[in-house]
Amino acid sequence: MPINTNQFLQTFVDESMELLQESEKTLLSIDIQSVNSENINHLFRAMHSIKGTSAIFNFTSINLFANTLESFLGQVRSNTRILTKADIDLLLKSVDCIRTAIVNIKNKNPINNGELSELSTIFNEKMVGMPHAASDKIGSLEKPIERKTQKFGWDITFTPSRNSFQCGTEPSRLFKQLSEIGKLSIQAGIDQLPEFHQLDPTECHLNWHLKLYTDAPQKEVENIIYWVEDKENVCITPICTEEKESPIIEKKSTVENKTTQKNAAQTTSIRIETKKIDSLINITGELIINQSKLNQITKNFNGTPLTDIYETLDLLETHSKELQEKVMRIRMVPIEFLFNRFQRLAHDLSKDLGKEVNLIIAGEQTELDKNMIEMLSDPILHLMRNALDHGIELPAAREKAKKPSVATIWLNAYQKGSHIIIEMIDDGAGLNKEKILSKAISAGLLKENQGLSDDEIYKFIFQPGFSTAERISDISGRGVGLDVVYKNITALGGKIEVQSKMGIGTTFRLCLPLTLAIMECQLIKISGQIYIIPLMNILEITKLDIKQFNKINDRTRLYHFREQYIPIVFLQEIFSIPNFSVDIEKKLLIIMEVNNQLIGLVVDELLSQQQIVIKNIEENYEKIPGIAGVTILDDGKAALILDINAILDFASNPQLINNKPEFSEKN
Amino acid sequence: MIRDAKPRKINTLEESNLSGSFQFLSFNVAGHYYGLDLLTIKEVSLWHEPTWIPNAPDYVKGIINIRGTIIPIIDLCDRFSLSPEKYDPLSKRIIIILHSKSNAIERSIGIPVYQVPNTYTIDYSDIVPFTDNKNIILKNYIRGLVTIENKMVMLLNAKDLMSDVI
Repeated sequence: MPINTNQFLQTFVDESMELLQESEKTLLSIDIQSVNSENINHLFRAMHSIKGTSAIFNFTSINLFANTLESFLGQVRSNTRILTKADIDLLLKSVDCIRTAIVNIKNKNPINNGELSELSTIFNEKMVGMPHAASDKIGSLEKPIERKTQKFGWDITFTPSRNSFQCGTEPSRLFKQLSEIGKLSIQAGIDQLPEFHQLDPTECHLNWHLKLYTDAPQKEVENIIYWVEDKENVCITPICTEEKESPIIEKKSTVENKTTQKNAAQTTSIRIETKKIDSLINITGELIINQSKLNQITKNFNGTPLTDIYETLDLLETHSKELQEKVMRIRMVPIEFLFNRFQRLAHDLSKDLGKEVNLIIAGEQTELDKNMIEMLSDPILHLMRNALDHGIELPAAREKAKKPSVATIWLNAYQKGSHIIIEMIDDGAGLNKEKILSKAISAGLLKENQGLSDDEIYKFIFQPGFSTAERISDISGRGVGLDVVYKNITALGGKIEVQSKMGIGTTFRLCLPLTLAIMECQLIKISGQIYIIPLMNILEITKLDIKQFNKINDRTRLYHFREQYIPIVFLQEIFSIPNFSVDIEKKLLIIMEVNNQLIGLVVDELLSQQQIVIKNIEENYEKIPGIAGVTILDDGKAALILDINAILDFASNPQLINNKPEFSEKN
Repeated sequence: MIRDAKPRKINTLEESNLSGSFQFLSFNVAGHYYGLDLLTIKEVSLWHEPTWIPNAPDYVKGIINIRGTIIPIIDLCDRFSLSPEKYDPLSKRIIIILHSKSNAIERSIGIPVYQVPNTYTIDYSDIVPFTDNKNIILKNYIRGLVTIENKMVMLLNAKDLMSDVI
């Protein structure tokens, strides 16, 4: 290929993924009873684009398959075919299939042609078996004139025998006849043509490749051709069935697989509205103007009042803050991308489970950090499975409980202050407190009923291995879903709230920070250096009372605080800060919570609370245990962000505190 | 300003380097002269007090922020077991920022020095290979020796220095 198309490959992948996602959404929204022609057009255009672009990159199998789908949709579009529920499922499967192929392209894996061609064959058979034409409500459109314009037809390879001229066969007459029933394109094959001196003009050395666009039935076409030619010399296939490979099929129909494939489909590039970029350019221009203004002022400075400088500095501040905000916005994408996947999941899963569910999505325009969206995929998936499998009852049970047989799940997102709230509400059976309690007791998580609050009871469902389901299904019940949800959400700096009423339904509310790049933090000072603690870990800050300080051994100390003994750590010890002595006079104690465990950190001084931008230390250095990242303070100095999780580990296993062999003790 | 002047200078020297001559930045640490290929010098920056980091080898003095990038500071005094540098607290301390690509990722480190460095151009033939089997540390770092103004300059390789921390 003369042009290096590699650089456009990512664009191809992105674009196709987007088209497939849209197609999926459209397919799921199609109502069989009244098919909206706009929807079909939409699908048709999507397939058309994929057909076109895949041809550019020489992905023949995708190209051919998209072409088949296009023809199929073309029939639907022209009302010669009525779309059935089975068709939609088949189309959904096709979308998955193309997606898999594109993921393979992206990962530079070979495309599995087997599945594509298998589906392709199914569609072709459907199209050949057609037209179950439109004797439908819209009225009969079976007019022969309209048929001729249809993009459907036959691929005819016509290789006359050598002596066919002697039998009086006249190919041109045949072509003429064929062109009367449809649009015909003819290509002559001359590969059998001998050298001129060997040419016998009475013999036929040519073969023809015809494309006949018509929807006349095969019989009609055959009748015309076989009248002039023997069957052996003609091969008639419906258009776009050139690729009939042996159907090697790897059936991957479990929902699990579908979603993991979707995860793999996540792209690393990001699409940004031009509007956002324009506003960035705009604000950058303002900054430059500001800067030159400052230059001018300082150049012409003659000791007169500083008002000009102050004014410009004020402007500079406003502009740089605005710029920061806008740059952050770039990373924000609508949660729509995430939510739309679940439409499909709900559709497939409810079918498998024999339940009827209506998924209502709201607030899909809410914007979230792109990385966060990727990390939210699994938790929401688990919650959704959980709701479908355990929450929602079977239609019969629902009717008994006087609820509509079609269950409803709401997936909702909105912004609340500096947090994003994602809600999953179902109108299913609700959590059974008694069951959870008895399970918790039998699992040894809890002694006899201690009069726990609802929240405390619901917390148990997030314990690893905790499941109240009597049976284990493919979908859930193994007790490994919700603890993953809990882990992922806490890792993102978020919180989960559960509300539930027996017989009425359950609400899971995920409360997440707006972005991963900025964190609300507390600055502290230990041994003369500033460290940073994420605010979400801090439970309480108190003056260290020596009387409550208890030593177990040299490295383990407990602090008596509100009827609890909390382990206390000294950063100096964990980090081997030079010149350290355990001095607890006039110190402060920060009580922190990680994974439901408490830990106290002794600090010298409490500084301000700030929003900080997290920087990666691993770019130029190795990972430091106990350090989550670095940030830059107002004075331009780097400061370390503590990884409270790791510090808790250090506190429980002091042997983890390693002095590197290279570390010199002389300091 | 040093910071402004150096990168421009490097840009012009970069092209002449293609002719086969070798250009390096020479600096002084604790009385010893070292040289680094000019093309591996990203910039020469004013002193930033590094932030101490835990459990690091003693030659890693901490990290600094250079316009949003976090860069570790490697003290050659400690790395090469030199006697600590006597310095005048008033003298200007600066940091040489090196960069080098490994696996297509650009990495940077900083080396603190007390004197403003000089650049020299030599022929490759002027470089004397360094063979010392006794001192392991130096053997792994010194790629060659060259004599400039009657002083021995030890030529270092940025990648070697960086492999200590990454």
